[in-house]
Amino acid sequence: MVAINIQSLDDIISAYLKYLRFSDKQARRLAGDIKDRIGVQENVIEAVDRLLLPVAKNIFSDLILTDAQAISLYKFCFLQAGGAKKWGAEFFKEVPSVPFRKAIRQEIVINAPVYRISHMKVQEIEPVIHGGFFHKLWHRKGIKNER
Amino acid sequence: MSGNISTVLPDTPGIFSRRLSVFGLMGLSTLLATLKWISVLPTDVSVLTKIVLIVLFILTFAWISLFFWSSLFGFWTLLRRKKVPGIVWPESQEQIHSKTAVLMPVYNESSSGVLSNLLAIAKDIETTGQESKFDIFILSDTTNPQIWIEEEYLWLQAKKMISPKINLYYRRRVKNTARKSGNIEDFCNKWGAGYDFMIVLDADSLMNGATMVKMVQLMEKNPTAGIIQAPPMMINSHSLFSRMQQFAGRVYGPIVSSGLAYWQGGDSNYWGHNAIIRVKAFIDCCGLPVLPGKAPFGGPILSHDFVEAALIRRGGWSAWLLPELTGSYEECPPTMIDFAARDRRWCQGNLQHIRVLLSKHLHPISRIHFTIGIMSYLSSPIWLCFLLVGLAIALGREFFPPAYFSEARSLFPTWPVFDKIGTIALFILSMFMLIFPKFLGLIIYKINNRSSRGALKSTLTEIVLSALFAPIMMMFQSKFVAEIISRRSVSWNTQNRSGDGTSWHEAFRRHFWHMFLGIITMIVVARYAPELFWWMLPITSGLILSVPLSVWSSRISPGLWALKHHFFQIPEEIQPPRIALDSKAFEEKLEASLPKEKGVFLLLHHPEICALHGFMLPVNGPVPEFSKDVQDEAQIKLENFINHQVLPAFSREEEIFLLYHPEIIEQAAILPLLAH
Repeated sequence: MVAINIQSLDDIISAYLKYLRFSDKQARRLAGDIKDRIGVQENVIEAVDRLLLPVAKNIFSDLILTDAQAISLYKFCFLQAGGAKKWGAEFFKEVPSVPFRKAIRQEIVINAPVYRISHMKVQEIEPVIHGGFFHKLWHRKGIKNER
Repeated sequence: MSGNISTVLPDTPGIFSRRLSVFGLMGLSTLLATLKWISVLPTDVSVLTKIVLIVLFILTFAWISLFFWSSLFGFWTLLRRKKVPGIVWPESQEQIHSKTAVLMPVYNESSSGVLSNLLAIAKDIETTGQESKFDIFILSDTTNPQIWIEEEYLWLQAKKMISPKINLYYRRRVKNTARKSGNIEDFCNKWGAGYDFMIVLDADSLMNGATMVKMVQLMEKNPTAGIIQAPPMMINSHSLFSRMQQFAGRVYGPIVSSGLAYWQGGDSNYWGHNAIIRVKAFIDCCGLPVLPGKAPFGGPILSHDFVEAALIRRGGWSAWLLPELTGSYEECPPTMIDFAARDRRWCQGNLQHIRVLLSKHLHPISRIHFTIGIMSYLSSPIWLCFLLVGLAIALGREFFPPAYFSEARSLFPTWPVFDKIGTIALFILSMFMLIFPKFLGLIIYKINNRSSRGALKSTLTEIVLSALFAPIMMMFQSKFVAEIISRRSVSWNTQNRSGDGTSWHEAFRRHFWHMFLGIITMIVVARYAPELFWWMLPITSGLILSVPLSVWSSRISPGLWALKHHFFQIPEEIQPPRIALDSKAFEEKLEASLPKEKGVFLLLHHPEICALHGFMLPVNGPVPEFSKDVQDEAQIKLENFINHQVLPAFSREEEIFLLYHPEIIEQAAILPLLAH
């Protein structure tokens, strides 16, 4: 991991929020609240991400997603749907509002459909005359000669 | 395994008489020409030399005559506007009921080119009103990390431009096992069961929506059809070389395709792209084995298309080549060296078919497809041997004059007999069989494109230029065959190109031996066998001029000059197909949308793309393993960049490691924000 070995918890949370295009002011205002919710954590970013998981799972309840996928998709949809400028603190609300939910869902992208598994059986390609034929021919000749 | 299917599937009506006529005429003309050849062979050469000359003659002449007769029947079919028999044609307005996946397998291609083609195809499908019946898949085998991220980025942009009724999917494989065939197999295993048909494209493929709908309708109407191949037409060429190939394909291609369809019927071949395949048939019959033994003849099957067609035919399904299907396009390699590089790959794949040729239960016509593919490359060394033996005989006469009196007592000398007139007649016959079909193609072309200009002069110029290129390609292909047989693996990346075609340096590197051999042969012939000088001139001059020919033909400026003067002009250049124009417009839009950052840096600067990338990763399979060194090095370089702005030179593996760990990239992107 890239080392983040400086600053206070507030600073790290603010940086995280700014990365997600929250303004300085918004980030400062939200950081304290988020800090209280995550408590003392070794990996702050991971902990903030975990805060997003319930809301992501709630919004994408009909999709089969891993936790990491759900968080990534949530961030992606949030940024595409107008991000912090439009929705601000709504991003971290445990129960999303109907318009927010609708806006996020409008941005869902599906990169592949659900698997419909089949199995392509490996076909046999057997030569009509294979190496064994010549081998046998040679071998027989050898035995005959020995006799 | 399925049994011999020719007993299960009804034959195309009248196919036996068609095959008998093409192969009968081929056999008869080869027999007559061989008898003539035997009669004109010099009398002063050994029996062994005569046998070698006869065998080489039979192989080359049979090869020429198959395509001569096939083209003649193709011409006749086109003239009478006859459709391929045995296939039921649908009404044009019929609603389709099945679901089709349009597959675009890619491997480090231009992402904007690939996506713009797909967008144009989707737009055209939309005009048919049947767009909800199609899904598009980009099946990426890309190994270049920067292209990978570009593909994801442009896929997102393309999704915003495409009709919401058409799903545009993207998946990248962690390992590109078995290359393109493995890529398609991976699709079939994961999603194939959800689709009735799949239309397989190449990165440079374009197909009209109406053509795709027609292909689906054909599959629905013909439930025993496993594959339907639409012959692709070359477009978008600019260099002289590719414009010449494009013209040749446009003028001679139809009679060649029509000729093949004439005798192949429902036992046709698959060319790897621009074809529709019944997914169930493909899943049941086309799981390709790894051939036992080492490369070049063992290992994964490289030219999978021919084998898949043979297996699907073996499994009880028919395969059709339908020249009636227009609106199918592809692009041509821009230079002779690019063309040869592609040939190098195809050569290995086709020679590998020697292992499959005698496989059990294959339809005889499938075996002929393999033989044609193999002969496409073996014909070059055969032709070369033929020339060398002829030259050796001529030189032998110079150094070892004929013995006029044998050791046995005789009153009369034994004059060496050489039937010059007979030899010339055979030469003229061979040239006629090579060139005449081109004029037949020209007749059809003129009938269908009355307003086309410069077709005759273009045909004549193409004949001259292709005669000059032919010995160069003969040398290339002979080298490829020798390399493959001697199991030498040679990299054929064409990196050394200037902005406008092949650079002089690259041309010298690739053609030095051609030029050298051309000069040596010309000197030797002029000095010791002057009677052959003029006969050999088309070959020696092609070889001697290989460097300037390669450079000149690769440039766009002579291509544009030729276009301006109506040389090699095709109707699609005067009025480009709408789908090609759409593709170009989409490409401009997509390229304009591309950020300046690439790979990891693009993710660092665009959190939404980083998030999207993280979301898409699991579909791409389990994360591959990376060595500790790669992991450490990648993170140190990234850290140095963040903390000290040291621009990192990631190795491909390091960058791929980071791309499989977007959380590291995200943290690295957050770090600089801490300072503010």
